[in-house]
Amino acid sequence: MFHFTESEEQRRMLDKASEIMVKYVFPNEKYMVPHRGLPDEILKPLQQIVKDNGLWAAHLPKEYGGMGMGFVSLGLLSEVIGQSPIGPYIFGSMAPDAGNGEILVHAATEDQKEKYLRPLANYDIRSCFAMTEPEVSGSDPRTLQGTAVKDGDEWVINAHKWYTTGAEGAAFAIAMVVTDPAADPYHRTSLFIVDTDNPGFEIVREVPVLGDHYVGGHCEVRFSNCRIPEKNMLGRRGEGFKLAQLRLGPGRITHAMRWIGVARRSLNEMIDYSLTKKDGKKTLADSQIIQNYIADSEAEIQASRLLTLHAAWKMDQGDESRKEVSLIKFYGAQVLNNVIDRAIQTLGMYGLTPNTPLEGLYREARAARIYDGADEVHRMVVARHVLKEYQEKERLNEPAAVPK
Amino acid sequence: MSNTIVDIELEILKKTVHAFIKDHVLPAEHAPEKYVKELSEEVVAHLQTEAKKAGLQALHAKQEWGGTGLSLSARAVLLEEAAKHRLGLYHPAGDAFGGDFPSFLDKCSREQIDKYIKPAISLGKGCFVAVWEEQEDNHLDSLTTTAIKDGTEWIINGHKAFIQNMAQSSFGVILVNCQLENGDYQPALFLLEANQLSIKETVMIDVQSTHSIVLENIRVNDCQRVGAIGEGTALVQHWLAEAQVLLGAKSIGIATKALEFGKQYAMIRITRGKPLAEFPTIRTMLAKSFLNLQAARLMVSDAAKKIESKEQNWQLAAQMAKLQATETASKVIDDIVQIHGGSGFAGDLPIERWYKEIRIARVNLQKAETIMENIADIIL
Ligand SMILES: Cc1cc2nc3c(=O)[nH]c(=O)nc-3n(C[C@H](O)[C@H](O)[C@H](O)COP(=O)(O)OP(=O)(O)OC[C@H]3O[C@@H](n4cnc5c(N)ncnc54)[C@H](O)[C@@H]3O)c2cc1C
Repeated sequence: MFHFTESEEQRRMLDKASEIMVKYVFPNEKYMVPHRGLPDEILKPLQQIVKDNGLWAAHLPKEYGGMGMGFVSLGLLSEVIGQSPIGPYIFGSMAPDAGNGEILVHAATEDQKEKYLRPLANYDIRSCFAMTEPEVSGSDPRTLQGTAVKDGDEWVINAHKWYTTGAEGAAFAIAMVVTDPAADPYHRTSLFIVDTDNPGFEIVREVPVLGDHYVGGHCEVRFSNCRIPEKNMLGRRGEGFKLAQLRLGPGRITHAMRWIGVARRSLNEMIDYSLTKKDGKKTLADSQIIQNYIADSEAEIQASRLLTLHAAWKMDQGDESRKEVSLIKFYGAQVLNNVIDRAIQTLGMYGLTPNTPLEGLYREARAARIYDGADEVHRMVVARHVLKEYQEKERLNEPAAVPK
Repeated sequence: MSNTIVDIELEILKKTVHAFIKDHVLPAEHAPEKYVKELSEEVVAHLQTEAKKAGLQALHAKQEWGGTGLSLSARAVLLEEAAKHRLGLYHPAGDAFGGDFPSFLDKCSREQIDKYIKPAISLGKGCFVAVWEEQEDNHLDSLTTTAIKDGTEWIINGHKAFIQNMAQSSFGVILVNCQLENGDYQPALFLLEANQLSIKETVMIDVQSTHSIVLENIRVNDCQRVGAIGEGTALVQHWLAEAQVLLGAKSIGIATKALEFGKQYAMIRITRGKPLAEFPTIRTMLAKSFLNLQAARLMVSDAAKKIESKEQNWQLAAQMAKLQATETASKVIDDIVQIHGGSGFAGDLPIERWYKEIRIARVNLQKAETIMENIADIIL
């Protein structure tokens, strides 16, 4: 069964979301503050419009105020709202809160859900995820050094983290630290919920970075003898690695589809400019060079989009889709960067001025090749899977087919 | 205009610049916990005093004007070295050597030299060049700013954009089309003082200040003209070729420094039980960077020599060197960002700034598409 069209229900959802983007999201981009996003007085009413239209927090189940839909639908919606850096905030599906919400849905106790998930789902509070440490390779989370030690009915956390996105202004952090140093590398860590007003939690600084679209910055934080009650462990002891992985799968679908939204928007900027900008009697769009840029971008966007929707569809069938998810992570991130780069090239110096969204998108996009697994790691994963698949085949010359 | 410098002397000067960056510029930029975007005027003034002591000021300006009077080839070598710090691509040596003095200033009269150039050199400033117009795609022959004669004066109307280093300049030169008596237009250059203009600042990719000016009935005296009427484009072309070579050299400078960071990081960062430097993907990135930087460096030095001797296709050599050097540097810096992971995206290291500035360099002073077209024109 192949069909490449949205269901009627999906179409309605996408049309509505597009209408909100045009009417309320793009026109408000001018109020965006670097690393802070929209001021609350502008943001909150816009979020209400999204809620009233039933498009809020697509990643969450209905019981928490979300839309409770499959990955394909989630991906399709992410593509629309991802076109604008403020889109995910207005639609209640921004990183890292979306991923944190998903972990809470899966692993939190009822009390934790009441205290943290409900207000998070409603954007009454924000959160952050503290895993990466400056001292060790984030690509290899088995090497994390931060610890939590049991002391009576409390845990005492000592850790130094950075790239804790959104920490500034967050109400709580989910921290990933070592609780069982003697266990095998995949069962050493556990997750904890830490209120940011805990005296043992400190934001050392907001790290200056290339991109400025994320609200609350990318912070360096420190947990110093940070005492938290036993009940703030999230999930089971030793499950840190597993739960962090769980957060990443769906996150990569939404990221990849958001990137496609950004790439599409950048391509549109390029097309718009090339149709109006005259080079003598002709427009830039008459030039074969620019036409090649347009064609290559279109090809890459389509390819990445189909790869992503295919991965989402497999996940909807209950498959983990490890290979597919890794494919879209590194391929999609590259496509994103390629298309924005061509758009800037077409506009020339003008493309680097703040008169178009391109320069801001260009700076932010570079991170996509690093966060949630660097290119090199995902290529390694894909190659391993493909090699294994080949070795498991019985014949050399199987008919070409969509990989299983 | 240059001293003939033998290789040995140049090698010594290069070492001087290297030591100057290490002893003065890097410490000036070093501010733990702070994100340095520029140097204060006092710091620049101090650097300039130190540079003067080392005999490094206004590298291009003639010695009789108070400059160092170095050839283009020599400047290319020295500026590659001088660029090797955070602000280095567009502010080599932290502006310690003063501003730029485009080659067409050789055409200046004695009065012009006394009025504009000498004071600039002693102030540690230079000369800005107002050539491009907004969205003009770097074509010198499609510019629209005009000047109309009125007695001994010219009345200029039009606009200029993407003027660089305005803050480092005490005067500038503008390219305009002068209306002749027969109604035809011919390009010419005029000296301008910054304070007679209305100036707008635009920040490019969050990192570089450029300026645009609108000229509405701006009057300049004919004695502010540099070179003959009709000569303007040719003079600008020569400046452009030199500027392209130097931009190429500076791009190679920051990329070479980036490669140093990359090598060091790859040797100490451990993942999956071994340093990054042992992963073939990373080794290839580093090796390719090294290889391509050397190729680009040779093209830059070749172009500098061709411009100096006005060899056939000297302009093309300059364009090709600029293209090769900026594209190479861009790829190197991109790879080095990647090797650093999160640290590459952060502004603690200068790589983050270079990533932005090299994107400017790629469209600055003619972009790839224009240069490719010019190459095709010549070889076909
Ligand atoms: C914008 C942004 C937001 C982020 N938000 C968060 C957040 O909210 N919470 C959080 O905990 N973290 C966050 N991170 C951190 C991110 O997850 C890490 O940067 C990432 O996991 C890479 O880790 P690292 O930076 O330590 O790089 P390293 O692991 O040191 O890797 C550096 C580079 O080495 C190379 N490399 C690594 N492994 C291999 C290999 N096996 N083979 C070949 N080459 C390899 C790659 O080129 C990689 O880029 C964020 C990062 C960014 C840039």
